[in-house]
Amino acid sequence: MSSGQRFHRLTEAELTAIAEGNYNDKIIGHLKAAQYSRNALLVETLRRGVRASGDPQLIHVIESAIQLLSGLQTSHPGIVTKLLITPHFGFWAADCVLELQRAASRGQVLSAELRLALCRIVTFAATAALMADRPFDLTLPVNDGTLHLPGIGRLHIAEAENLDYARVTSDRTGCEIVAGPARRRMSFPRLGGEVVRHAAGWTPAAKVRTSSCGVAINLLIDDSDPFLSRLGPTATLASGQSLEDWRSALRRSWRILVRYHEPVARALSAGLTTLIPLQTGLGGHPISMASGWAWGAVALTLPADPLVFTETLIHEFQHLVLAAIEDIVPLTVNHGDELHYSPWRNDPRPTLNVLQGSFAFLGVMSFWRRQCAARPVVGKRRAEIEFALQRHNVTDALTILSGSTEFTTTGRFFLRAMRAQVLARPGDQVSPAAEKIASEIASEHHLRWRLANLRPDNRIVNILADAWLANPRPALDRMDVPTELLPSPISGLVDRSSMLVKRPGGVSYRTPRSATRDAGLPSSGDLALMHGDLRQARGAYLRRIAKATDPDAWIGLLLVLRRLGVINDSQPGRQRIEVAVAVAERIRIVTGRLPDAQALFLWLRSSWGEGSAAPD
Amino acid sequence: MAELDHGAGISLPDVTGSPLTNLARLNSAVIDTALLRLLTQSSEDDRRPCGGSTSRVWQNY
Repeated sequence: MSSGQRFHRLTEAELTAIAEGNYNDKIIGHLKAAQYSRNALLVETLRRGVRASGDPQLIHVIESAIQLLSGLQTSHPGIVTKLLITPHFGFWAADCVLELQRAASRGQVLSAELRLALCRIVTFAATAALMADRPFDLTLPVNDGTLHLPGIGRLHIAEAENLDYARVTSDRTGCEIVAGPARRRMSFPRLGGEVVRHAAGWTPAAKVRTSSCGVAINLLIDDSDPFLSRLGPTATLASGQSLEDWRSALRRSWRILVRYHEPVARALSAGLTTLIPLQTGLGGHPISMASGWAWGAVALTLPADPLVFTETLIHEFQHLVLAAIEDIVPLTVNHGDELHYSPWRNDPRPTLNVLQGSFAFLGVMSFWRRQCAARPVVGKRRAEIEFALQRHNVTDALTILSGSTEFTTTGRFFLRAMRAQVLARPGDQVSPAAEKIASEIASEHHLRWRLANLRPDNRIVNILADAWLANPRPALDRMDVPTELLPSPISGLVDRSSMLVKRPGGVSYRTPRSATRDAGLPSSGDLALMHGDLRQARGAYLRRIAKATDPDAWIGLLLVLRRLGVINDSQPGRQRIEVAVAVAERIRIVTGRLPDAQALFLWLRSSWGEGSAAPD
Repeated sequence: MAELDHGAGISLPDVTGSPLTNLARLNSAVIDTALLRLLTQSSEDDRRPCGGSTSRVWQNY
């Protein structure tokens, strides 16, 4: 079979269309077909792994389930294909293969937990058989007394809470479930998947459907799948959020998508199948996520407004699209060798991860670009700031990536196609005020990232501190300060992004991400900065810095100097804030006093030169 | 536009027309080449929010 083997391929035209967000049915169909192939190969890998384990009972269970699925492929190919490309199946299969590989590499026997997980293939086979109205007699795994049938529903059997398996038999009259002493009988209509006769403990799968101008989307709201719920802290529909909350939110978002972003709406309609409701993060922060193994699923907290919902769906779908491309063909090599600045993260990221962020936010940028052009414009200021910010960030990230040596030929082609999207277009209209705010937010993040992750060379820092203390103080020659990358996933520094877009006395539409510290109550310097009182802000920050080593105040000070035009560098990387803070700290250690921060910064800055090609 | 040269043998095998049982005949090297790089990415567990073994999760990028 390996000779003459066909391979999935992507043409330049398809990759260009994907970079442009010009999705069509053929492209999405191609990506879904690749998901089928990948998941089928995962099953085959799983089968071989189980065979290698030499566990005869488990081998029989897995082989029988594959036989059943294979037989159904002949009679009902659509059902099995649809099942295999569900996020439930992909996430489960990948998890099992990884666990099998780990066990094999350690020479371990398969744990009871892994055996139970592997047996879930029987659940998928039973689900397909139910959908195909094929009689069966199978033993299915039970999780905490609950039997999960993906996409159909779940049956909780209180008497089975301490059991691992239940026997399920199905014939043309219905389905009987026996778990220990418990016995339940249910029936399903042919191929519909909806329960017509309820059994005690049965919860049908929650589904939402909405349509606008003839474009519809059908989604499963899955709050209980035993594997997908590992994506994050799942919010159950029974506790707090109702299905109607999600239905209503989706309806409003869908109207925006279809009206202003129709190609993307059609792609979401064809590719997105499942939403996984999440609890909000610490401090009530919104969370959203997607996994390349769970294609078609987006996990998210209930969004605050329709624009956030729409933006989130597009963002996460972009991750899924890029993951599907990466499934077909590698875009990078040597995963993880290079680490880069990422405008959306507090920590340095590998090349592929920065590409993921760039592609997700390229979709977000295009969303806000179209929102700016939408008539009537809803939230013009917000649309302009977000478009300008994401264009700024994506441009920065793609510029950094263009220097990477880790791209394959295909990866480099895709990178070029993405870069073409961030170039200014005649229709792009962003007010200078919005552009200024966006640029400031981007700078603030870069400063925060540098302080969190870069440590300047101690020897040079000491030389600079000695020079500052010398009398007379020398002018500095151009000097490179080597830095060491010491990743810090959570910097502990204040995220001012929501504050910087807020009008004085108003409410910010931005919410800091959960991985950062919220600004909380603004400091006196921050308040003055928000009100545009730059002298007062500078004074407040300088006083804080004079009292103690205070990186947050340093960032505030540089934002003020930027607004005052004292520093006009649009590349905050050249500002070398981490060098200034380290030298100030060294001076404090030597003299017991902190220096004048602004004077020190401007003196240091002369060593790498405003506007020159100083190293970042 | 031209067909991109993805490089010999590194793309994902297209098994859409094959029943699952037929995959037993596939050469292991073909499967490994397609899946290994994806599974290796999953060792990137630092981004995984809730433990477990499956990664390729993108949260709050």
